[in-house]
Amino acid sequence: MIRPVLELMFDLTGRSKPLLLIGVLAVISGGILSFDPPQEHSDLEVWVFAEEHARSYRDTIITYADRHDLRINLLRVDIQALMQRVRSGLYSGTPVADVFELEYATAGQLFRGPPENLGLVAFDELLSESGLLEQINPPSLAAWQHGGKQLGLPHDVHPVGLIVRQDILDHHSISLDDVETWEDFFRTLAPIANVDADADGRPDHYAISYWPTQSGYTELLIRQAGGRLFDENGRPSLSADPAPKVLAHAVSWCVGNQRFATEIPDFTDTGNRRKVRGDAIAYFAPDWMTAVWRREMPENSGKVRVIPMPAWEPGGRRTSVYGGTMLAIPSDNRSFDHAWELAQEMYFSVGPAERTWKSAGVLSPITSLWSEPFYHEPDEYFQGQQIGSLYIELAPTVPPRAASPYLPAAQSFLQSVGVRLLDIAREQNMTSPKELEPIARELLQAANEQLDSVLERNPFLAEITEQAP
Amino acid sequence: MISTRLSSRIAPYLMVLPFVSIFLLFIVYPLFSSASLSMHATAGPSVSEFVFLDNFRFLLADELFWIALRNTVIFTTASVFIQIPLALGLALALNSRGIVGRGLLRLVFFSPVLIGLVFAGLLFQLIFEKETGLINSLLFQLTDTLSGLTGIDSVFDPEFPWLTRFVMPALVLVALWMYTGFNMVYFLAALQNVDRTLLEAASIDGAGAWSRFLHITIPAIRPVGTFVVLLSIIGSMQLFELPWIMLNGPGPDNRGLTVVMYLYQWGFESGDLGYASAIGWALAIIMMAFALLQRVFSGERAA
Amino acid sequence: MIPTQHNTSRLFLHVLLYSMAAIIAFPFLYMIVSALRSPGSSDLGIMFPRGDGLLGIDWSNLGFDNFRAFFASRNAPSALLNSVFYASASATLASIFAAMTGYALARLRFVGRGFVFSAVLAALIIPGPLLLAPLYTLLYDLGLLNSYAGLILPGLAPAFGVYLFRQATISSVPMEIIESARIDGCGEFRIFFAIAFPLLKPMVSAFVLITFLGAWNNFLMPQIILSEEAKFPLATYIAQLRGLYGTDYGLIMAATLISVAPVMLIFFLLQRDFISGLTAGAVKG
Repeated sequence: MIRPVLELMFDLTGRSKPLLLIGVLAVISGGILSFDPPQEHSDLEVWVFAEEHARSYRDTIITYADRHDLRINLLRVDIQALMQRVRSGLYSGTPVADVFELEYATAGQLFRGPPENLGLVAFDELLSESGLLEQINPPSLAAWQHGGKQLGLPHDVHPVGLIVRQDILDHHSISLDDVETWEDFFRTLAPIANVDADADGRPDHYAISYWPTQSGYTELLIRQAGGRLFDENGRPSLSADPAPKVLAHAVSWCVGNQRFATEIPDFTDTGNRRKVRGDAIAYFAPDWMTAVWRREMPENSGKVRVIPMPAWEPGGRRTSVYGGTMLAIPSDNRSFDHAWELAQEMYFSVGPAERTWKSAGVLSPITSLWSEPFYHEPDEYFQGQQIGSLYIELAPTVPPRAASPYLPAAQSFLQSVGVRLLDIAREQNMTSPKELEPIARELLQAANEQLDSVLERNPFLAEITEQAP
Repeated sequence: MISTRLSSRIAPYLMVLPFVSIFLLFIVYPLFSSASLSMHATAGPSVSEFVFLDNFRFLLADELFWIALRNTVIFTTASVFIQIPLALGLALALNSRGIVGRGLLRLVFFSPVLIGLVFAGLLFQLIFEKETGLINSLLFQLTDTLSGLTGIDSVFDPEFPWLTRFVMPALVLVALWMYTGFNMVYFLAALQNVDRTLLEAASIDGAGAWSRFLHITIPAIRPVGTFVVLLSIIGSMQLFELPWIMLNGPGPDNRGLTVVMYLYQWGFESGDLGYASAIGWALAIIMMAFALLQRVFSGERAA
Repeated sequence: MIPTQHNTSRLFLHVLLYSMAAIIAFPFLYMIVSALRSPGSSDLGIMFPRGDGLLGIDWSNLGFDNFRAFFASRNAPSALLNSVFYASASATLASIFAAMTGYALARLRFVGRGFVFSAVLAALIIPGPLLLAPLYTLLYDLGLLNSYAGLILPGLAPAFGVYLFRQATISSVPMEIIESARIDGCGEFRIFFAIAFPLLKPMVSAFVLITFLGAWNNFLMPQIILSEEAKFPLATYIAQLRGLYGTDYGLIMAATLISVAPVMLIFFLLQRDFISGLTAGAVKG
């Protein structure tokens, strides 16, 4: 018995049977797979893409299921896999959840075909009938509209501030209290930015963590300054003012011997190590980023604070918007009434709002909840600062943004332009925003034309713009 | 019991049946339907509209397609021209008489191909990373130590962005790591066909090493060489996973965008299978041109 | 050929070959170190030891935490099983089909033989990605999206394999053996499985390994066809581990090691046949 097995495995005599070996493997593994228990039956299926989200809804869903005697299956699916499943479900009818969440950067990809064929429920009437429309922070709705229809419920507001390393600032007796504009910000930080005091061959701190490769950050800077990537007709407007000026400034932070910016990746082990080391003083921080820091960088507890973003000009907007989640219900669902009721409880009631704030740092878009005490508690991680109060202060001025199937393409063009501009600036030794602005404008115009030609060839989009009010 | 005569007449058809039926269904039919698909604008497989040659017209003017094609051709050219001579050199060295540990060396050279492009992409993403990556930390520590010893005040910038500034060289390097040993194995086998007595005779006649290599070894391994070049071109032209994983997408300023990646983005992220098919046809035509060129080239040399 | 009579040049060759081998092996070492180090610790401290422990290495930073985490994570073990099934089923069936067809094309007479062979030759230059989009719509029409049948079936018509097996048959299955078997009254299938197949063994080994490796490391097809995480094979599963909230390279490198180990083992087992088979097709081609 043992001899033939050994023979098979170790080719003792050169008479091994490779095909047999692999064939046996196929049969065994296929056998195990086919014994896999069939999926449990459920009455309602809910998919979310973040563990934090799953955690904050779990109780609500269990209570709801008990109350209505339903089996509800809550599943966390990775964002890419979720998009893949939703796409394939909407396109080709493979099973999809009855309630699922989507993320801002990728959700627009679904909004490519004619709206009536998208396979998503429109919420417009439901929202106005239930009176929810007035309770939702207005800038948060637009991101999920397509062809004049509200295809998603907003999960969040995502106002942006800056997380700053207060310990480093204190060490150098620098205060950012009087900073109002980006100009003030960099002037104040200039004495410690890009200085190698410990003489280890590299600068101890840069002023800010930003790089043109991180087009999401470029986008939020443009939105802060009042710019947008698409106009009211859904056509790209990459080169419209103030985008060239903003991009020129942002790239100028990244060039010269005394550059202010450094590229630190988010969500990676190595990026986190650099954030703990304090390679940059300031980091863009939408509300949810505070929870990421608390969870992934416990070492920074008590060393950081959140401040409003410096404005582009005195009196200007002190925040922006980054990321976002929506909830959608496919037209092909098993029970619309339950899906819609559960969706409201998950998104618009106080219990999940509190858990979402505590575990994911996400502020609810329902303005009436903003006075809840849990939003205003001092936070140990941020030196006892009431960061919730700060984000609530910023929330009403968050810039509005529209959904577009071409958002990923626009972001990719924005990144290309940023990277090219940085190369030009480096080659030609240009460090002032004034020199860079005309080049930025030219590059953005070329990118805009290209993106426009991509839109031009989508025959379904023409129908959409015609239908749009 | 079927008579032997009858069964021997049917047997050939039964033998080719599984292959031919799958071939017809999953290769021939999609090939024809892709021609039709390439003349449609689509949003997923269920929504489509006939646009005739619009996809191809758009393709010719599509700057991103040309960027993708340029990147792919640069990668292919660099891979073939660096990898294959290197593989041949390694095979020659390994084939020399009296090499100790030949089996082990062959295994080590060959093993990177077993790792797969996705995993190689992940590994090298880590290796090329700024500040904390293997290469940058190594160069920084090295130059820092050197400057401490010599007093020269120039240190390697640990933030040097390989995957922004040298995207293609980095990809070529990883491909070199993965496939040189694989191609070497082909050459190694081909070298077994070289007539040793002929080499010895030439040596006795006073032919130099270079001349023996040129006139005896090269002709003997040419068929394998042609085969390996063709395989490398076909493989390199279809580059996708490596940059997709290593750069988390097309990379900064689309510097790692390849034709197949562009096809994937259109077809399976944006849902326009029609335009994706048009891109596929463009790639097919270019690859057929390569194959034809190579055939002409090798035919001429053989004549 | 490079002269090797002189000891100096032999020494030089050895230095060259072994330093090349070291360079090629280095990323593997890095991978192993990254997989073994505990989360949060620097891998370079282990690669370039300057610490206090034995050999300067801080041994407390090394362990099997990442491997434990891998096997504890949801869907990871099933991804491994999925990979085994996908790769071995593809390799077995594709090899049998290709061997039968290649043999028939080389040694049997039947109507349409020339046509099939031309089709195979033509298919050699069709780039796979061209068929991605139409294949997707076809699988949609057949209702095979998100299923293993949809993933495996399209891979069972390997034109390249048929070509290789035809070449291998011509060079290693003499017509006389077939003829004499026929005279002895053997059926065609019996001749193929009992006589030709053993003679083709090196090619079978090589092709089994090539297709196994191809399926094992395939990322694009599963990514397109499968939509359920529980069905993902390893490569696809690991690529999507680089999540929105944090990329754990230690875990990923551990997963990579787990993925490489089986193919390494199979390669070890089949090495001899593999190399002779791989090259049989090329040399005679």
